[in-house]
Amino acid sequence: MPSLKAIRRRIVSVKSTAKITRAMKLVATARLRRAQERLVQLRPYAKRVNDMIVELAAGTDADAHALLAVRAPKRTLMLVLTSDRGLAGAFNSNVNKAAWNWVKANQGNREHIELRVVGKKGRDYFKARQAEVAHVYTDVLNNVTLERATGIGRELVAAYVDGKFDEVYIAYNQFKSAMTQIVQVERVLPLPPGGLDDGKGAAAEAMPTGIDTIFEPSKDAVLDSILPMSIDVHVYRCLLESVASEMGARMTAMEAATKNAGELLARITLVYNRARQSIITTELMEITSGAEALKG
Amino acid sequence: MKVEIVTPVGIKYSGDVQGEIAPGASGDLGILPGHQALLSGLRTGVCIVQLGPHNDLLLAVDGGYVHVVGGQTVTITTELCEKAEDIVLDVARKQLEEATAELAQTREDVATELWKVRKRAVDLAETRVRVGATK
Repeated sequence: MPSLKAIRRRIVSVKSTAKITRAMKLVATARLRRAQERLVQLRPYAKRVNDMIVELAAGTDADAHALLAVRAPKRTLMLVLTSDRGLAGAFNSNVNKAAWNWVKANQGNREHIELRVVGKKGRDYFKARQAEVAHVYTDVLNNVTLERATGIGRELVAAYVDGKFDEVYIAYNQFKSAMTQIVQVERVLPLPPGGLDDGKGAAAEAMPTGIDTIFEPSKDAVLDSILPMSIDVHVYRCLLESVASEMGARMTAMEAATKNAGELLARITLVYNRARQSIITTELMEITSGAEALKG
Repeated sequence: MKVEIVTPVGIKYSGDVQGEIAPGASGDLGILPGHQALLSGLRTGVCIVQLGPHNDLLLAVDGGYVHVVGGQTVTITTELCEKAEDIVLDVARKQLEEATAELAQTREDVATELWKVRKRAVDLAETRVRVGATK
């Protein structure tokens, strides 16, 4: 049996761990609520943008615009969205694994797959597998803004339009609830004809599109500006989904950790009390036997 | 006619209106019920929602798109839309002064990227002042 002092030290350490996990859970809960709110606010916007591109794409030849034209997929860009910090359950490993499996499964029929990663956790994962990561964005999920998403979106579009890549994929965690996150590996470029997933799983239905729709200043100008914009909005939504997922996963993980710490503490306390009792018993026995010997 | 103004931070305005004047990329677009299907880019400017006779709601919008479907539904998607009560007039006036001064420095190189950015800042500040003044 370990010494009393050692057990006492262990109790203190478990208690302070529980304190930390509890605090982390509270923080994650608060940030989850905020992230969820932003996601809910964004959804109608993402849907309207999607409706517009679906309507536009329906009335346009697929080859009419670079972002719609499907080319033979030879060179692929994969963007993986992870967080900078761990202790978020399986949040990071799930999305990393899904992206990695996708890469391994599709490597054979493509010339090259380039990885770009958001978050330090993704960077470390691919480094450990000796996969080359072309670019790492850090400090993104801590503070997701439309500007940041636009910056990333523009880079994706530019790389695609330049002909460096024939298709662009994004791997991210879709937020369902604090308990459930679903990993998605989706093609964003060339734009799928049904539009991009608006987060509710329902592809937009094409609106009754009039052939006589007026485009101002011109159809090409509208396409030129709206298609890249829809990518920005999609990246923004994926980032927000990731933040909400991260916070949800962390909240659940930290709740479990706090519960486990409580159980552990109860067990150690029991051992501690038992050890203390046995020392008292031994001492008592020594005293009584000493007294008996004196009487002798 | 139903007008809806949607931004990344939520639906900013939604309601039945008599008409609407949107700051189109190539000139203001007056939209009345029964308007032909339309999809147009917007510039930074004031969007006027006509709630009734002599009852206009002014909103500041910064780019985006206006989409008319079936002559009865107008959807404006924009990254930024502010109502008069969102705007602090003094701050907006100060921004306008600063932005105008900055723009004046780039007078020589009209149409460069920097000029465009600064011009947009001036437009936005101007719009804000106009909308903020209707409080």
